[in-house]
Amino acid sequence: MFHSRNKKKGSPTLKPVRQLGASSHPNNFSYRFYSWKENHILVAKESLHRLTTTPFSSLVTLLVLAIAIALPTGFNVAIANLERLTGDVNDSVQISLYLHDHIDDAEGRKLAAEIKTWEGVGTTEYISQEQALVSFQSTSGFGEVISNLPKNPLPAVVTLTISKQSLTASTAKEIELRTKELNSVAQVKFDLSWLKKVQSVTNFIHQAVTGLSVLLAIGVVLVVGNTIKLSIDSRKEEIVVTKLVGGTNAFIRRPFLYMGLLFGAGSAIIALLLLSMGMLVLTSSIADISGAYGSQFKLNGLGVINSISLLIGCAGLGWLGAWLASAQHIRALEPR
Amino acid sequence: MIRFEHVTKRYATGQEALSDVSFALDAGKMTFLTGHSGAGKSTLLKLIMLMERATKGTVWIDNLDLAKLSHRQIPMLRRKIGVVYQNHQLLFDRSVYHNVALPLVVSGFHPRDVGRRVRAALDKVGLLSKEKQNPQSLSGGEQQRVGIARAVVNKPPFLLADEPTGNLDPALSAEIMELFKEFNNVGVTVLVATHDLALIARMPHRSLILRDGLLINNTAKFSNPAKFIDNDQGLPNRTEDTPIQNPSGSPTHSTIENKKHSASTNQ
Repeated sequence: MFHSRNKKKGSPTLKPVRQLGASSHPNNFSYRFYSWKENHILVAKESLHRLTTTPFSSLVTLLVLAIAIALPTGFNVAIANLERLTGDVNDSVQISLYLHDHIDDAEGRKLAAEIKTWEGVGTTEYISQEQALVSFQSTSGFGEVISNLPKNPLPAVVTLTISKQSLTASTAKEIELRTKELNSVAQVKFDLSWLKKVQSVTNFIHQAVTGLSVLLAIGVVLVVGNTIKLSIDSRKEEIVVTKLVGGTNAFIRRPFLYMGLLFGAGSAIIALLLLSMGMLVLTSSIADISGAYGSQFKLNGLGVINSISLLIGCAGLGWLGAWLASAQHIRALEPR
Repeated sequence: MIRFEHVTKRYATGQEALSDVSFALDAGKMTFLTGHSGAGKSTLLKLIMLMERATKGTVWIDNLDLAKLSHRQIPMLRRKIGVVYQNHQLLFDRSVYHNVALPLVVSGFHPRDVGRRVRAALDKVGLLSKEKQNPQSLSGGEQQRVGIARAVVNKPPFLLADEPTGNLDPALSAEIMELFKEFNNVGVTVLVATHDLALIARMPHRSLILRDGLLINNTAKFSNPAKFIDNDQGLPNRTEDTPIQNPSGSPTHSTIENKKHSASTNQ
């Protein structure tokens, strides 16, 4: 330990270098872990503090990132809602068998159970005339019109879906031919080409949104990377001195990685705020539209789990951008 | 221990900064490294710090062959070596305390120990009362002492100094040298690069003298560096027969020692 420099000249004022107390030397594991943890907390706080020292440029960066995140997320939410609206047409091919008026509920149910045993058939469902009416009124938007009619015009229906495993054009055709031979069936409705069109359109939209998401994710990584590069440039001197006194690259990288993490997570939170604001605006106008068509459709948001995933994912992207920038630029900064 | 074995350093430009330099500094000794500007003093220190790597030959620190250290191992080497620079290399975006604390923070010391050690080091250089100030508000001599506190705060076995008194007046220079001597007294191996010959002459330590990248006195203990050095670098103009003066103007003890040994070392 050092003593005051006022001591008499000539007498040694320092103990020999190697006599260090074991408790104060960073060699045992728990000591090192505790110091490491403390350093992480300190560095995280410092990184946050640094973002607030340049509030304007930090905010601009955060907004750019938030817009890049909000765009594909918004599209994904829109698609999910559209799919809910058009029904789950992707998973299965459905054939509707319209029954003759004289077939009663018991016969209808028996028929549904029988068809279910056929090879290649996934599920069957019997929908009575009354059920058909209720469902038609609530979803189609023509509820008012139909209640004014003297008699229920809707027939009872057996719907069958072809199981995914046997979903080929030939088995579908085979099943369709078999249903046409049934006496109780008045009409078979099976429009494969229409399903194919819907399927290809939704596939296309899915691919487009996925592509957009990937591009914008790369954009997030690059924007964070560039911001971190500028930050490294402005702290060159500090980095060089830290290297001179024995700082590892990992130690020097740490505050920049935290900064990237904060940029990613912060922009995800702003993006979520932007999305919920957009939802708020749209919800009232969608309520107007669906009200006009007599429909109960409501807009679904991202949900808690997806929001948390988005937050973690974006924090990861920010971290990645920071890592790429710091790995490259910190290594290049060597004391001369 | 610091040992150079036939070390040559040639820069990418083709300039040979050191040519076949061999010497050994025993642990716990204080040594001066001198020579005109461009003689290779800074290059020699940079090789010890692994800021540069030798083109030929081997540099040993204790039993460590520096050529065998990977890039990732360099920080561990630098933690064993405290360095004082002519331009201090202090950071002006933080207080004196945080400048001195840096070597402890990077080597993973507990915040509680950091405070204790930083204050001890600042106390040692007489700047305990200025720990909260920004180094920019300190005088040149005080800044240099902050640099010294930072170099010794983690108690490294080696202390290097590159022209530590370059910007200071003689009285402050003597004070700084006194500090180095005190660290040496407690077992630190000290190597001071300087062309302040008056200062060297007053201290009875070994000098390594470089001229154009060549080590021209390897064995001398108390050689007089003045006679080896070309006098075209603005150094005090002396001949072998002129005793080196200390500030009070009288011949010093070490000058007499120098004369005694110079005959045997002048090869």
